[in-house]
Amino acid sequence: MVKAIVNFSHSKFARSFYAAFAGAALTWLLLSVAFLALNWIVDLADIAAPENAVALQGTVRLILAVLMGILGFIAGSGVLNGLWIGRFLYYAGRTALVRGLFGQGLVFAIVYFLMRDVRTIPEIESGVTQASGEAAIVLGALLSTFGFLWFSGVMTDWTLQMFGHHTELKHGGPPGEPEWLRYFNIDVNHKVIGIQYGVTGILVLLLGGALAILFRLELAFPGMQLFSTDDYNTLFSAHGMIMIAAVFLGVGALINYLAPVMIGAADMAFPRLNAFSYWIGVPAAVMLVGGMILGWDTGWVGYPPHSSSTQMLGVVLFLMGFYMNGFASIASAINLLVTVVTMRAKGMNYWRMPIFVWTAIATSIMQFSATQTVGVALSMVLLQRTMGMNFFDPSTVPPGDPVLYQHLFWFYSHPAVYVWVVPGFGLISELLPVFARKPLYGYKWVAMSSIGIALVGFIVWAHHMFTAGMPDTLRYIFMVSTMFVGIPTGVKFFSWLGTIWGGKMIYPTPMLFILGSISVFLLGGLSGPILATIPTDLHLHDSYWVVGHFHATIFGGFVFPFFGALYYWYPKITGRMYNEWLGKLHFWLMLPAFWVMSIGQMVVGLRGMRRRIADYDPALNLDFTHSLITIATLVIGWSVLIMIYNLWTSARSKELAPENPWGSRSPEWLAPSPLPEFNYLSPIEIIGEPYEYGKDEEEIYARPIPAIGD
Amino acid sequence: MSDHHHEKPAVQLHDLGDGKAAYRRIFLVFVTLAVLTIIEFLVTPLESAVLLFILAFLKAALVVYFFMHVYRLWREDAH
Amino acid sequence: MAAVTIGHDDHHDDHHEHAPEIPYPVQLRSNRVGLWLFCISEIFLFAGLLAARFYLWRVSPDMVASHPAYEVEVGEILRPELSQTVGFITTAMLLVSSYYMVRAEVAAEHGHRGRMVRSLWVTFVLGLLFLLGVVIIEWGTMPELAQAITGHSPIRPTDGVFGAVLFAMTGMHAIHVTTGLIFILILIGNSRKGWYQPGRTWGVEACAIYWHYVDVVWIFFYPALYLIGTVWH
Repeated sequence: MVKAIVNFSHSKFARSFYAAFAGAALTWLLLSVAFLALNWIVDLADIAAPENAVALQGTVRLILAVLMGILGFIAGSGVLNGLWIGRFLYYAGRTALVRGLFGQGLVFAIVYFLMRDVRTIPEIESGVTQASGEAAIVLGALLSTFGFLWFSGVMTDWTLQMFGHHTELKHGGPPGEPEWLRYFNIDVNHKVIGIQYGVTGILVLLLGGALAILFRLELAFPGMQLFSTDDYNTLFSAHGMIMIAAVFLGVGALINYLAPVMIGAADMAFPRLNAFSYWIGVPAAVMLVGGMILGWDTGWVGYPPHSSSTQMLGVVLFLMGFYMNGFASIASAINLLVTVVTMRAKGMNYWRMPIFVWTAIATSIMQFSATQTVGVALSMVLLQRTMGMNFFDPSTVPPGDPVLYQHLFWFYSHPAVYVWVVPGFGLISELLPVFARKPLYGYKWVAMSSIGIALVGFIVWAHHMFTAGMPDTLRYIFMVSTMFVGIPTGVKFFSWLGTIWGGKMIYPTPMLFILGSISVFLLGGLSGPILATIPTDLHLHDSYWVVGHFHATIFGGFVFPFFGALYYWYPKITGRMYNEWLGKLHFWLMLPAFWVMSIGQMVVGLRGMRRRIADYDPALNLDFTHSLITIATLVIGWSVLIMIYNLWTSARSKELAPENPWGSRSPEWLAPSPLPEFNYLSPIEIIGEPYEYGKDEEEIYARPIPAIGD
Repeated sequence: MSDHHHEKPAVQLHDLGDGKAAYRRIFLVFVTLAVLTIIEFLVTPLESAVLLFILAFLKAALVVYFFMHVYRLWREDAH
Repeated sequence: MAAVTIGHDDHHDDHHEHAPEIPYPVQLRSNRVGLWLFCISEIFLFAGLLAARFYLWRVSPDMVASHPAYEVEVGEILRPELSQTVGFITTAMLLVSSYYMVRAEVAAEHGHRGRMVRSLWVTFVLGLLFLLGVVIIEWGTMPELAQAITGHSPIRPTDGVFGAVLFAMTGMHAIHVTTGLIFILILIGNSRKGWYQPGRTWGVEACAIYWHYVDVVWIFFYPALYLIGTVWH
């Protein structure tokens, strides 16, 4: 029975059907976006649109979508493969992405239309959330996740096992299809999943960046030029959440691709769970985008009482999307920890692991535990909105308390920012010795400082709440504990300086990004204690200073090292070399622009600019700085596009990269590039220390285990 | 992940005997847990949250050690 | 741009190359570590709920002023009026089910298949009774029945922070009980196909650890909901 369903989902009919769905849905989506942009421009330019324009657009969209659906159904059989559109639809019908999105839409539609008129709690007679079918949206979003997972095939093996079938891990691409199709399908290989994470992460980064540029244009001048205030609220809220998703995806990409290779394993401990962690992010992203369409104005923090009472319904989809992303975090963190505990190569003891693996451990410790508490906080808001359960409204006896949300939220969300920056620190420590040709200074201290940051991260959360109405005693405790973060971070800075000191430095693009990230993170780090100190925080809280500090820490701690890592491991991933000149251009555009942006944000913050506000008083005299920040933002955006162009075109070059272009000792360079399906052609063993650069070349770190008799 | 029934046991089996000792041990743990639960119920009038939490931690420790045999995590030969 | 090559001599037709085999003891160890990490992760979920319970079910300054008849102080821990009988019986049922679960596991490890399946059924029935006790009586899905058994009208989710936290805690626990029950049914079904022979009992062990974990959560929830604090009518 279960087997029959699985077989049917791979039948010719099902594939044609999915191709039809892809054609129709994509047409609908593209036309919607196009019409939205068109209407916006018409509105801005004050052109009188014909009265029936919207209805006409709807009709055009419907007709074209149906036509493309029919075309897709025909193309699904492969008869139209001569045309590019036919090929596109043919392959679209064979991707897990399309299958899953169909399942998600289907389940959501069924649940929504069945539940729309059902009142969750009989005694609530009125109220916005009940009247608008909000409970149906929440339930539909929740169950639609399962729709996605089942239709895409992530759960197939587990479902079959539940019904007593034995399943084997399928390696390699889909049989009889081109190799690239495996990146759009459920694949258990950690490198495929890592690249899925990475490419999705960069795309999401572009989306979040585009939103930022839109509202930066609005902020360039005082007064409202481009958007309504509601649109502005949606834009900055979505920018925050989407960028957070992008950074999480980037962290997932690094850890998934690098950690197993670095410890000498063939794959993660739970390959199916690994695929699950990636794919559950897709329905979650759909929910976030859905939240954007409905509009949501709470920022990425979603504080009650605003989030529990706002009439912009997008907030529930934001909460659900955030919640679902948590499953991905927890599952992938557990997977990584288990992999490190049980799958290390022979001789790879904990003190000989590449330093990045230590940061992956520290990150996973925070991710797999703290994520649960934000889930509690988010679900409480959802329950309060849809079921009338009161957690945050102080009018009952005993009273509810909105500060409870902030505690639960920041208990996760503070460690979350360390989840983003600690892998970045790992990359800095990993790459500096390679380019300085010197051993990493204080390996054990650096390894322990990552764990230290993770542990201290658990006891500092309330420094986000100094102005929220906490008891004074708690404020002092959290001020002091926050200062402790400086100790393990300081250890890292000393180690980086000690590594650079007297090194024979070379400066290819990855090294530039690493050095740039140190400078940017220093800016973020030094602006931090000012916020952690109660008296100054009382003035700076909710100002643009916070925005400047935050962007400096995340760019320095994650974005710069991530781009450095992309260039550094690019020859490993593709077997080709990127264009050095374009890489350097990217760096020299991005670094100064970022400094201008971040320092500019701090300056306007000090001069009275509040964050999350669509407009400002011309009397504040901030126009010039704000315009400067906007220009800097545009430069950063263009520089990232240069990187994407560079990476895209270099992958198609015929020239192969050298085997170990950086002279790295790390074990992944022992294997061919791109990495084979199971990483190493024969098992490796670790016989030396990882970072003995610039010493006796005979002292090797890793080698293939010699065959018996050698 | 799956248990392949058609293969021979994959791990070296210890001489498990008829398991009488194991059955007896879990029954004793169960009785202890039941007694502790009754004690919890009876000490409620004392209104001591600390005492109730100590009892709860004791019960949880018994379950984690004897029923969930957490010690197997540190056993390398894996059975 | 194929970022993963299939073998180094480009055998593109041979897609289903064999992975380096992971020995069963290593996989078993991975599974155990993974499941325990999951349990630790879930501690934070239930601890978050417990934190909410002790944060919200307290005497506020307003309450002291407006309810002079109560001899309470600001900050004192409160609890709602719940039926002690229902609480004790459901707790007992979950405890006995835990015992039968571990019995099933010991039986599986010793190859006592009949006893294993019988114990699993007992666990299932007791777990189901626990679930029904919470959902029907404590939640008042059948208000008349709940009234008859407990002697007072059941608390509703909309009854302020008492109702909210009570339903959030028991609800989250009930979700875990439900998945545990499904897990037990899967075990019973698959054991008919001859799975879980001695030496290959990870499935039973995993279910048992999960089920005990749900019991451990209730070990903390039971006093937190029913025993600790002053009753507030």
